[in-house]
Amino acid sequence: MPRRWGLVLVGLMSVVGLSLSLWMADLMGVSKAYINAFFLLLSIVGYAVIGMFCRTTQPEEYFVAGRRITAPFNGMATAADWMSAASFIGLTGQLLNEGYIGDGFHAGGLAYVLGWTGGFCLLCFLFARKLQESQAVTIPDMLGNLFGSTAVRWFSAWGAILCSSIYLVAQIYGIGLVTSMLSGLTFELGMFLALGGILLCSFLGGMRAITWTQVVQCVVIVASMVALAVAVSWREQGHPVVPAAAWQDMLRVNERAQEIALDPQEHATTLAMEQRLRHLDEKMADPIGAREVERQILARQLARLKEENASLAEIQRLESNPAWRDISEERMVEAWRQERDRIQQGLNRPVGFKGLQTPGADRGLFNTLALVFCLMLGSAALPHILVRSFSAASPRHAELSLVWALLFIAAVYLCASSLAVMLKHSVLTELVGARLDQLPDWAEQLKLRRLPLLYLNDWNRDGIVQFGDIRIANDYLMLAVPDIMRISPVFTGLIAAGALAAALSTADGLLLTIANALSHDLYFQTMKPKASAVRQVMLSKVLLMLVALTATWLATNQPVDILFWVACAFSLAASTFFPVLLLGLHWPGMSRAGALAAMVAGMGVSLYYIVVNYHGVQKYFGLAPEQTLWLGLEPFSAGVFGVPAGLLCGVLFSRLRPGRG
Amino acid sequence: MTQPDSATDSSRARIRARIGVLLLTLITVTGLCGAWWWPERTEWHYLLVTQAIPLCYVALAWWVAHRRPEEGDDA
Repeated sequence: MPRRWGLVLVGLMSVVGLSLSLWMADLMGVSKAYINAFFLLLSIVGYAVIGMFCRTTQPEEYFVAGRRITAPFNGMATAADWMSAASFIGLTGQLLNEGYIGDGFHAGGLAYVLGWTGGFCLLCFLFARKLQESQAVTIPDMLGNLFGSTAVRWFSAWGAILCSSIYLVAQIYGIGLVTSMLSGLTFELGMFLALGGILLCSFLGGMRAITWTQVVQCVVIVASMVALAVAVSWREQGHPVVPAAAWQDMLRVNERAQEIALDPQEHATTLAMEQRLRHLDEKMADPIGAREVERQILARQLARLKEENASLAEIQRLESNPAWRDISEERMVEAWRQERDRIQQGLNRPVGFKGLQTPGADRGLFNTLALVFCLMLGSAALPHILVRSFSAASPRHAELSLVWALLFIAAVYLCASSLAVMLKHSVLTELVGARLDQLPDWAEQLKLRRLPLLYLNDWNRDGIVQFGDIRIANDYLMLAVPDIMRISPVFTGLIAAGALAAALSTADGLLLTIANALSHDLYFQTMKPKASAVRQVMLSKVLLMLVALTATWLATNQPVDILFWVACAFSLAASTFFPVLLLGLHWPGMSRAGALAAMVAGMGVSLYYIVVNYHGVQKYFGLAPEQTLWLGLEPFSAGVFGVPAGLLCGVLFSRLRPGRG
Repeated sequence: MTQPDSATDSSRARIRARIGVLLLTLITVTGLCGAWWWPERTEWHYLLVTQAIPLCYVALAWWVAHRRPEEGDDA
């Protein structure tokens, strides 16, 4: 036991020691790029070394870490397993841009804070003890044994693969973003470098290596987030009490938001944006005619610019107009639609944290409650989180480990939501009202990044930044916090190490879940039950590598809206596994047929709702969102329909065809 | 005497878990509805919903999971 706590202490001391030494390096004038690259490289090498030390070929060790992990360590591993790139780097940007209660239509940022924490209570109350008591190896294994059915095992294995794969691609995309932004490598190279770290760890030691790597990763995630929040709090208010500093900033944000709302130039900006919206609507109604008119105008403007010997950047900006480029009508309309969506989002964005709506229930509240429902039930039903109960030393340790996990997760989210307030304060006081030719240093840096984090468009052409002119990227804003708050660049490296730890730890857990479902449940348990233990482990390792490479290949296509796909994975997990686990573990009347029906109905309804509301599918079949949205709920809240469908079918089929294996 | 004690403990644990689910739902729905009914009080959304409620979840999980050591297994 002391040796294990020693590992935590070593992890913490390494983070502190490394930060201090790099802080010294920064003071001595070492380049920011070297500091960031050093943090990244050392993180990856460190995790790989732990993986090598924990290598094993014993099935009990490889699949469930020997079932002897005590509550605090299992809790740390669960927290790291759960805290993904989306929640670590996405939440602050989401709260900053969308506010707390949304725009009266979409779910507000509060949904993520509550949904992603409350789910652990459900898991602790309903499933943890019983899962540990089952002594299974994977969730499909547990369900297959519980109902004595190969069909249940097969279907739940495919369900686990589907949910985990969607989540995995989003994680690997997050890893690519972090590594490429901080190392200067290309997106693809950054992703493959980080993939090496993941594989070295999970390939060699399975669950045992992943568990101890995740313990260290949890230390890195929590330490980096807390350190950043304390530093920003100190910078903003001169004290380290983060909630108090954020509260003080929130009062100023509210005052500033009122001033901005009364600014006539802000109204002019809003009017210009609305005018552009109407113009885009007209163009989309008659794309061919609009293209001709726009081409003539562009041709005149380009000719004038060339006569005036204007800059190449100015000419290229005009030439990048979709109407000028020789692209298909569909692509041109798509470009206009994207621009329209961006402007509409800008108009709906709250200045402070308050939405634009009046007091009382609206569609936004229902969407928020729906998303909280899906995130909570999804957290309690995600296969890679559920398997952590199998590695706990006893049922009591399985339950207590979730309390520990929740403690660490809450610490990160409390800091993330406080950072959103302090960042908003900086944006409203430093950027809004600044002259476009005299922007704060950090704004210039954010605009010029290879993946720009800040876009400015002077809608009313007054040369001054209004709130409506600003568009800030959600996903990777966290990585720019040290620049915006003007704190040491060492924090950029530190937060990148935290983000990388978050993405790697989740990717590790997901990879192992997918590989084990393929090898243990789909192959060995159903086709080769007499295969040797060594062969089982070897096949799992080979599949793990293949899955990792496939997911990386998919992520390199860059089609990923991280938060959207993560929310979809939660809905699918909630619909597929929550009904069958709830009824199977707490209702003796649940039958084999009921279990299968619950999973098929839950997953089917949820998958249908996500797919039919997907933009590409709607375009292909000529559907409109009003035709396909049920009760106006957003597609990633599909679990609201999938879970009741699963519960209903589970009860119904259990009554019609009773009998459990 | 051990078996009835164990059965009572198990029953108490079940009741506590159900109360936990009920409280979880109540806290969450109340917090969100409160935010929508007073949309302009963002400083309270910050303090109560983003800071206090997650801490309430931790306390709730601890209250349900924290059982007497003699209940059954090897804590």
